[in-house]
Amino acid sequence: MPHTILTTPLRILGTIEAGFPSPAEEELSDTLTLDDLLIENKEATVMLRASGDAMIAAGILAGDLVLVERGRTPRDGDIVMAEIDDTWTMRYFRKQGRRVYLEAANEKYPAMVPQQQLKVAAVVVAVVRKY
Amino acid sequence: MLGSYPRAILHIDGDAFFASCEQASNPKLKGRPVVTGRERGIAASMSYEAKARGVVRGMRTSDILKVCPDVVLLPSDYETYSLLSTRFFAIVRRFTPTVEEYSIDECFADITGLRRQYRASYEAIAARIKHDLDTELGFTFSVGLAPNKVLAKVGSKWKKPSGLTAIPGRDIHRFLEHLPAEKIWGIGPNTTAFLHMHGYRTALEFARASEEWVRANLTKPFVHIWQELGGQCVLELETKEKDSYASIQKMKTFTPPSADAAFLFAQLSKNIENACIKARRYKLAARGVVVFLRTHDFRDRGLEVRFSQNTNFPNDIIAAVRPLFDALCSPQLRYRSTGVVLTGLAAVQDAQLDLFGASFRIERMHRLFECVDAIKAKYGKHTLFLGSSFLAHQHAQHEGARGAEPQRRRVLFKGESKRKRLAIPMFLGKVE
Repeated sequence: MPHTILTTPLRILGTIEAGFPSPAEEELSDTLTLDDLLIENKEATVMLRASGDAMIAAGILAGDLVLVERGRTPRDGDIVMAEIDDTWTMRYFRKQGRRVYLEAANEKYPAMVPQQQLKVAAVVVAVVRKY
Repeated sequence: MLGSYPRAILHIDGDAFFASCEQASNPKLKGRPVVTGRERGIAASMSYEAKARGVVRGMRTSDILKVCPDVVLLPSDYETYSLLSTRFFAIVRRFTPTVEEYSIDECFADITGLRRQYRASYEAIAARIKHDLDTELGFTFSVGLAPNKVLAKVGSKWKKPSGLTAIPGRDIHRFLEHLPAEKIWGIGPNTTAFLHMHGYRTALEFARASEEWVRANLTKPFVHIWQELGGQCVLELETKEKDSYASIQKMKTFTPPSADAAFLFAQLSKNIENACIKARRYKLAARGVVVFLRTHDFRDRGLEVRFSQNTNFPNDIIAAVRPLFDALCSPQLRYRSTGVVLTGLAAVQDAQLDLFGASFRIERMHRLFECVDAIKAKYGKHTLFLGSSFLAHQHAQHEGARGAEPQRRRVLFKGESKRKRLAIPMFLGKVE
């Protein structure tokens, strides 16, 4: 079975008395792995490599590992992976009343207003960068 | 029949599973004829667009290109397919723990008794499961709902792709009336011929055969099928995850077929090593081994070896098999695959040691392999391998596969390597 555990949680359940007696202690601490922290719905979350500079003001740089969750309903201000007309893009999702459009985090890029359709495939839940 | 569903069994089947996995991770492939299995030279899975163009499973590359010149032929990415398969089962398990993982892209689920919990009909629960699968995995599944496994399978095949077919007890006859007997799960060509001989051509005709005749003329598995066609639930779901194995088999095919004894032995060695890796993982040791070669025209030849003691060290098994291999391998024939089956598996602590001096050697081997396993865990399964399987590692399993590696292997994050990647499916489409 594949594991996505990045750090091992430490649960000290106690020590076994053998030889010299030592007081048995049990420390149960609730620990979260990085996986648990970053991923809410394991089955619905996939990853992709960010490209371009359209979202740099949001802190997403080219090469970053972006975790996105399928099936989540986007809210105004979420960053989404969407198919707008015939292009796939990653932008801020903007919904104001009945107006829906996509916005970049970089002045160079204009807002994207759908002509035929806008399908949100997934919502960005985390961005990971290793140095 | 009392009630429509005395039991409510689902059969859930991924539509064109491998091809769909590829289309989900790269939307540019949606609507295109996609075929996987490039490295084998034959079609393993075809998208519905490719099926519509006449591509069938097992079709050779040259034939695929004839019927579908604009096909997108992809190498198999088993790692991704396995990740998505695991997710598939996990989503079904949100609804019920009684899930049988039948194959990489199919499962059975028992949802009997869940109507109160979900305040919904079985059909509605099935629809919800299907919806979650389609949405979260990004491709479609077909579902059959019926009082038992055989009929649930009839249901899932009834309407594909993206179908949901319910077969309540009172409607069984309508589904079986025009269904040829050979389309029933478990009924193969031999049984079909036998049934035809006795005048049973459709599933309904067979279902209406007398119990006397069925029990007198067919073996138990077919009696069970007959019972299920009649609406009874006799085949239980096998939900237990494997915690042990009665035997471990490793077999691999290579292209083109080879007559080179050294190469063939290397392939066999690799299979033996892989089987032993699995045995060690489950803390099992084998008392015997069966090795076999399959010729290019699918004839098998094998031999069986028993050991004086249980072992899971490939060195032992390879040394035992080597002198016998020449007798097994004929230089006139071309072979397409080698295989090995470890038999007589016993838990390592139960394994009897050879009283006459071998325990020292075992002790040495045991320590060597502990170290080896730790290295393999860190760097990947094939970092250290025995000299005898060197040739098998030098050449890609399928000639010409060198260039055809799944795209996932080429797009790596910092920290990933060709051997080790994150266990999360990667979206490979271009996103601007």
